[in-house]
Amino acid sequence: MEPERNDPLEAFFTAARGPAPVPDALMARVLADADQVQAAQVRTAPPVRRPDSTVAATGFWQRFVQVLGGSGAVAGLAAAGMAGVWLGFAQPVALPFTDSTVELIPADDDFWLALVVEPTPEG
Amino acid sequence: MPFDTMLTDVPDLALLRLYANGDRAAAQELARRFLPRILGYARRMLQDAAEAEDVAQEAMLRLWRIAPNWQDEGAKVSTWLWRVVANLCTDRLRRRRTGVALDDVPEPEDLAPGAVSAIMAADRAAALEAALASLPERQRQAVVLRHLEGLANPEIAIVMDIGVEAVESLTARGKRALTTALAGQREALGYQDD
Repeated sequence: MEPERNDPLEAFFTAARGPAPVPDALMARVLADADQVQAAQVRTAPPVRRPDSTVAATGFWQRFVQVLGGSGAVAGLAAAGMAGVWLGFAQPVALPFTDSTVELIPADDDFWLALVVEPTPEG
Repeated sequence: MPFDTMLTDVPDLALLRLYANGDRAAAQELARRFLPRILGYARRMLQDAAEAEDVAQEAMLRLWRIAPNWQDEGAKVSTWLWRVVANLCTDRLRRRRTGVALDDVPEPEDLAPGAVSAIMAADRAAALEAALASLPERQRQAVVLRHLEGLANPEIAIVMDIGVEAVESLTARGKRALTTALAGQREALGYQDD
């Protein structure tokens, strides 16, 4: 909804806009209704037919992604996994710790790098 | 991270299906999402907090009941719920008018600035609420849904079961009436300083 800048009423609408505070007792009653209806429906309902949509809102993968922390987190995991695969196949590069001792360094990048990079033959 | 905070990004329809499948957290998120807005709307339409709570509770009850039978034909859950709330409010207002003498029903032409000048509260929100209360029901409904709840005109048309042109007409008339009613309050509320 775009504000109507020249609308003399807009200041009043802006002041009045906003959701109403919900009394705790009302919320409790609404959720109690939800529980009661749900319990009655579970007892009597036939099996739920899953929608055929290929982009199911409640599909397994959608919930899997949600449990992991959203699509951003999953993308990060995928990127880290791919980086590991790449490093495993990549030619060894000259790195500072060629004496084959690997320090566990607090920085995350160095920590993961230390685990996947093999020491050079000279080490 | 508590599981229920992840539901804030789940679309309404998915939440409704989760609820129908026995997910209690989905009901909590649906209530958190809808109840404040439908309660606010009902309060503005009915001008009675207790009745507004009854309407809001009844509307949510109807949502719980329809959940397992929801036909996904493209209608939004929110539009359906707005329509339920609007109809419940209209029913209550009609029941109030039954048996009330015609002389006691305010005429649209009585929206004089004097009606609003009787308002005790000086702030703009209270002034608007009082002015809204003096509007005919359908104008109030259109203005509230459009300018306070942010619904687009096509959606309001579905909620009110009228055409889009009728929505625009009601909104325009309602706003003209509000402007008249609030004119006497502009100086008192510091509006001219804007």
